[in-house]
Amino acid sequence: MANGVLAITEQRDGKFRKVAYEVVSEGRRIADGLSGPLTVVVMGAALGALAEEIKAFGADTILVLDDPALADYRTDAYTNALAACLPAADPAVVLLGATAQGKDLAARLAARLNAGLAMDCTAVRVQSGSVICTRPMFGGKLFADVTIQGTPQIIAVRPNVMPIQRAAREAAVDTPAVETGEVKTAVVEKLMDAGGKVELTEAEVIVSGGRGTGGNFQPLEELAAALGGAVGASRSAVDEGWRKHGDQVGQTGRVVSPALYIACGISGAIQHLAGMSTSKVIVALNKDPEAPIFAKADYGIVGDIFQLLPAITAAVQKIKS
Amino acid sequence: MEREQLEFDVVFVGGGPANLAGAIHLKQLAQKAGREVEVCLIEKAEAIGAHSLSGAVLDLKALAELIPDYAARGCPLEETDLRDGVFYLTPRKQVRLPYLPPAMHNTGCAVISLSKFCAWLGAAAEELGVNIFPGFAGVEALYDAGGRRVTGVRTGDKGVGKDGKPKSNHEPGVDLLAKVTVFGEGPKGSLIREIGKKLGIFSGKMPQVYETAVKEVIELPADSPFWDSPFTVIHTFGYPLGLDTKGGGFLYRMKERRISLGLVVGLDYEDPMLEPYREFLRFKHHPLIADLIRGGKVLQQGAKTLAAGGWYTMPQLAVDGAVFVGDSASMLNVQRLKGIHTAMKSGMLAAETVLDAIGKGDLSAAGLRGYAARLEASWIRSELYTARNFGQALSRKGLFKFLHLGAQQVSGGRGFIDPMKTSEDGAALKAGHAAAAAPAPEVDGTLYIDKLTGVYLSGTQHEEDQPCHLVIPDTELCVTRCWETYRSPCTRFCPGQVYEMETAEGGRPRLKLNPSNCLHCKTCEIKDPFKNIIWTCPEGGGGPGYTIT
Amino acid sequence: MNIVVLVKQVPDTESLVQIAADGKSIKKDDIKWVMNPYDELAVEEALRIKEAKGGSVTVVSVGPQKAQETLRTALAMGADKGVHVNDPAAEGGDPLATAKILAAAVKGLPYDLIICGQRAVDEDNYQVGAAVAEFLGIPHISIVAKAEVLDGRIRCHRSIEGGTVVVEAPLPALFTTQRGLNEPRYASLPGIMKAKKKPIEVKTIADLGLDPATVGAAGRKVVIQALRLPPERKAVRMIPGDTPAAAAEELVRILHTEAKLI
Repeated sequence: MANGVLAITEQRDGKFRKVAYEVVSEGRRIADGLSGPLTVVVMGAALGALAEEIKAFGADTILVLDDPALADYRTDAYTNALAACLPAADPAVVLLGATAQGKDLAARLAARLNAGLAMDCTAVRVQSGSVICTRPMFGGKLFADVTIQGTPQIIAVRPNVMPIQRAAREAAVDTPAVETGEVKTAVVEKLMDAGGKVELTEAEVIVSGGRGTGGNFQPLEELAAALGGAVGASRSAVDEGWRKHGDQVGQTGRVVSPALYIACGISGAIQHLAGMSTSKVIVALNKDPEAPIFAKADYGIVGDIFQLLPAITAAVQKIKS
Repeated sequence: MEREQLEFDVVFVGGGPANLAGAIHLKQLAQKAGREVEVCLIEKAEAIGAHSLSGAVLDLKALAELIPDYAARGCPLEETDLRDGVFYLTPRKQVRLPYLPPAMHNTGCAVISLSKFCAWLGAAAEELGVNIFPGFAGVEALYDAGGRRVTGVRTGDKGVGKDGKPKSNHEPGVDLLAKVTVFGEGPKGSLIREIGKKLGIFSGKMPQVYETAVKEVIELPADSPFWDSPFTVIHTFGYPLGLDTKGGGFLYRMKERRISLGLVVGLDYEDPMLEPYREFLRFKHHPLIADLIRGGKVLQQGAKTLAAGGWYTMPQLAVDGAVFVGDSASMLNVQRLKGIHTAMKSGMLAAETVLDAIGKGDLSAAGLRGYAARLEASWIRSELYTARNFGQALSRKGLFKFLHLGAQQVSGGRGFIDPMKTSEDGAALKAGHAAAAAPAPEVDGTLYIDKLTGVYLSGTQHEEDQPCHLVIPDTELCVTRCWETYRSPCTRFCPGQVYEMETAEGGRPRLKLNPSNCLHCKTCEIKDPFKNIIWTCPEGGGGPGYTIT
Repeated sequence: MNIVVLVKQVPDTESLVQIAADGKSIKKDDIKWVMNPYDELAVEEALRIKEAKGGSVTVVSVGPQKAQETLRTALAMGADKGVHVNDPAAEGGDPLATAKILAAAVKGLPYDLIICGQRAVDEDNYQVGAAVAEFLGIPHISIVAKAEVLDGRIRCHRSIEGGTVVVEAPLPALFTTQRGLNEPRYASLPGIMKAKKKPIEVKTIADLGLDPATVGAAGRKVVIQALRLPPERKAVRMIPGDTPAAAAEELVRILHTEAKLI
């Protein structure tokens, strides 16, 4: 009978992505809730001792799927390899991160296994033996509690949400034969950070400017670059011709829902709030302490954005390096 | 540029109750007569009903004529148990009128959401084979070579940038050609304005006068005292406008714990500092209203003007190739505070005439004369003629209005002076800019909301990258004479905060336009004292997104 | 080149979304229904490929009668024909259940390429495209910001965190759209007129040879237990600082160690 949790990690260039630790930590919690084992899957090519790095987070077993065909993420290769080794593990829950890769893999795997999938969950809890997932819908305007019937229950958790927790235990490392089956897709090129700007509606971080910028968006651009985010604007800023229309956030512009929204010199009219109020964390920087944006923000600083922004950028760069 | 042309027998411009009823009736009559008519209806809103806003108490008379089994067909009526209460408000108190003026009796009427009602009529029209095109604005009437006969309408280009240049998704407008074009643009239409200039349909008529209504749909708690009120239809006059500015408040019961609440302000007010939106908030804060709406939440808000001039302001109803219906043709009965039934009836009478005229092959003004004749013989005439001086009497200051109203009451509408004159609303403003005495009404973001929150709740949306649809021929005037004489009344009369005056460098005022806030109410074009605002149609599909107003 | 586009009718993102009395679904009245914006990108991309390479564009949707409006919109934009699976048994499904229906509907059509939105902006599931491809046994590429049809292959720029991966797959294949792919055209008035005469084939679950117990609400594996509004935002935390630099550092520290966003 299906039992325990299988957590699928994500690595890039031989290094775990942060979401991997989140998924394993969350997997341990769920496995404990279900009183079952945690199996962790590490996938890729020429992984070396990568599996060792995840041991401290509570795996009972680590399955290493190491194969040249898994060098780059390709939906079909990864799905085939996982589907082949799943029956042996027979997990009750399959857990992975809802990243670009994880969302893609989870969806294909769910269809392959004819299994239910709760996508982009922001909370998972075990209650009298059943797993309840919380996930945003309608762009974050509503949250749903969902349960999944049948096994495995596939759960993709939103990155940067689940706490990382160490839970050292002896994990058995298993390296089963990898069956990637027929692979039709090919990665022909990777363009990492090649000056490609992040699309506003897809950005995880948005640094947005209003009238208070006076038209100088350079410090915003720099902070956005440091955070790997995009630059947005209020309608006033667009009306003044400081930014193009595609950058406008608000009721009549784009509706965005990033993890972090930094409003710089934006007063916070409801039309603007309508476009960004579902952001996870809102930071407001404004020299006017009465600006309505502060009422909708999580964190606020009253001050001159032209002094604050370079300092914030510098502090971010310090952490990132 | 070569434009695509599409030919129809009849093109209706505007998707309000007048044209929808007209299109439906035309199809019904054609079906009965076994005739084929190709009918098209365009509407600038993204969906039929999305720009429709009214009180609204509907006299069911016209609907019963048009669709006798309307109830069985699921016509969305909000409330049919109408119990009227009329109150005179002082700043803190109210007096209930012991006697209901006959014109205010609402037997045979129902509260509706005009937005829902129009959506329903639209579906009925479509079922009958009317080609309905929401999201397409008429931007220009088309004429024959002689320039006297209307031959159709041109729809607006889409995908034009702010700089006037076509964008990658540019879609040129098309020419909709028709034997007869029916204009039902509502109050202060942008096409009929130009037709009027060209063909003189308003000449010799009294100037049209308007009122602006700000309205909300509010959801009340289950334990609201309003559910126990003896009245389901409340009208007020007096506070906050007083007796020198015409207008009044209304509160109607709707389904699903909702009410419709609004204030109508006559646009012949004199004080340039008056702000209809602010008056609406003050009205809401009056104890009579505040007690009834306590605990409520505004679901939707909007604003719209209504053409209140009545009988003597009715334009010439037909020209070669075109007829005018509904508020465009001043069909509203201001005495009964109702215009939907008369609008519908006018559309139906126009439809009968148009079908006749097509049959006879005479689509000239003479061939369409039957419309005016039918109207003359219909109940529209008896209603509007009785009320022909009513609005003018209401415009009189203080208690004088009651003398006139009383005299009209006993003389079948004639009164002391017949006809009483109307004058243009824009000219009514008096110079001066004394600040308003009363403190700004409080807002809480839920039940009492500021203008911009109201704009948000109207759902109004426009493509941002398009030319500004509000044409201000002389922007210098705005910051000089208009500012000096009236302190820019546009910043107050507009209920959508489209107009803002900022202080530019050197302390000089600077006009800032927010055209995408526009609620398409047309107050600006009517009330601007310098006639310096010309409202043109923005890209089709833009504007409010009313669904329950 | 025969292209199939999967479209869905969803509440406009401007609509006020309210929870219905059952606590598990939304109120369907007073909502403006529109084509899922990611599907608009899919229709536009299909039309551009057709304009460049010839062929046909068929749009497929599952939904109630009203969903036909969305098919008509796609036809008005220029698609050639529509397939509408309209069956009460198809309603209320989860992405997997819906993908089964769509795959069955597409199976009966000639296709070289399938395009659909990366997700529908109602339940935000990001699943249907991949599942349809799986059920049809063809490759898929998700979240595509640029697509090129090559000889017998599709080359897609797929957006991932921090960059773009260029992926190729042999046709027939499916890809899902990302914003930035194109600027969808307006449905023109003549286009809408023509769309009225374009065929929409209406199918039921039985027509598709599916067992009603495996699709729609009956086939749902992901069950919504409760819907709720997002928690109210806590009161703002004002970050003091003697100097802008101090406040900035404190903000970044909080975002890094407490909010874990940097």
